[in-house]
Amino acid sequence: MAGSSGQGGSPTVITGVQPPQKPLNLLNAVSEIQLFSSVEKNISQPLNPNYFTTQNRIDFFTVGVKNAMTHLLFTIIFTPLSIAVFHRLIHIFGDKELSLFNEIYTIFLMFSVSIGFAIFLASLKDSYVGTVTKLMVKSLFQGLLVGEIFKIIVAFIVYQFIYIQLTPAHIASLILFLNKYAGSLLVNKLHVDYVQMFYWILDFRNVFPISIVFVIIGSLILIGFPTAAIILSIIKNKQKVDID
Amino acid sequence: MLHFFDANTLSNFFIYLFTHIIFVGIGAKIISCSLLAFGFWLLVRRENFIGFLVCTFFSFLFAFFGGLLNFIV
Repeated sequence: MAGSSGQGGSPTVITGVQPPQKPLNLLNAVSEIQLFSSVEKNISQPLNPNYFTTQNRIDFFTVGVKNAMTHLLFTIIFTPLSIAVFHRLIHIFGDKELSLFNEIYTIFLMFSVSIGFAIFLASLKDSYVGTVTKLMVKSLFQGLLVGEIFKIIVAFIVYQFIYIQLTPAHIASLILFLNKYAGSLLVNKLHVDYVQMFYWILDFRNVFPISIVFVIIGSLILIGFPTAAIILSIIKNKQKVDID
Repeated sequence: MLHFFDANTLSNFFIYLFTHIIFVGIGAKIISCSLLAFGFWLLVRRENFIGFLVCTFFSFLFAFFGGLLNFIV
């Protein structure tokens, strides 16, 4: 643990504080931040900011970016599916009627990953103390922000590509291709109506431009909620100090 | 009584169970909501991301598979 401060003008020697370990994932990063915040709360002299080296900043930044990438596929696949529920293209729970519960649950499901990570990251509001810990949190959040921006760009490109490719001619070609290789299964076993399928895919195409808006909203929730929690914590601490 | 448990009846029973109770209607709602709640519990209490993502994925599956069944059944 850190050594105590010296007396008068004598230099303070901090001994025994391990430098931040390279975090492997978000959980490691949050654990390191919590560990350092508990150390910095108990020392009288603040740590030198250079204690958090450039390599450490890059490590925490990378963890933030990687975390955004882990749920990229999940977001890209499930956001259009959730929007399709509101367009009555997919029946959630098999219900043909879209009840209020189904609507609210679909929205919650769509943002569940973002909400979950936002709640977890908001726990850092109690750890935002001390010089080094603040740098750790900032590096992590910068990585998260860049990762989320990258996720939005990838989602935009994928959705726009699908939207542009799903022209009526291409849909017809797709159906002909499916009929060629799986016609007996589709027609005889599953009783698929090709005309209905054609118009369903054509309607589903309109879901993709709107989906990007909800991907952006999800990213805003993931970054905004913990940031707001940290800012509120700073304001509350300042008010406490002023009262004291 | 024995004929009630023949393979065909059991098969029909399970098909009915999956297409009318587990993946559609109230059964799907209960399972999907429970999985999502469990996923959040894993994330908040146990800090288990993988568990949270898996539970959320299966929650989606139970929510949307019923709609897919409407097309094919």
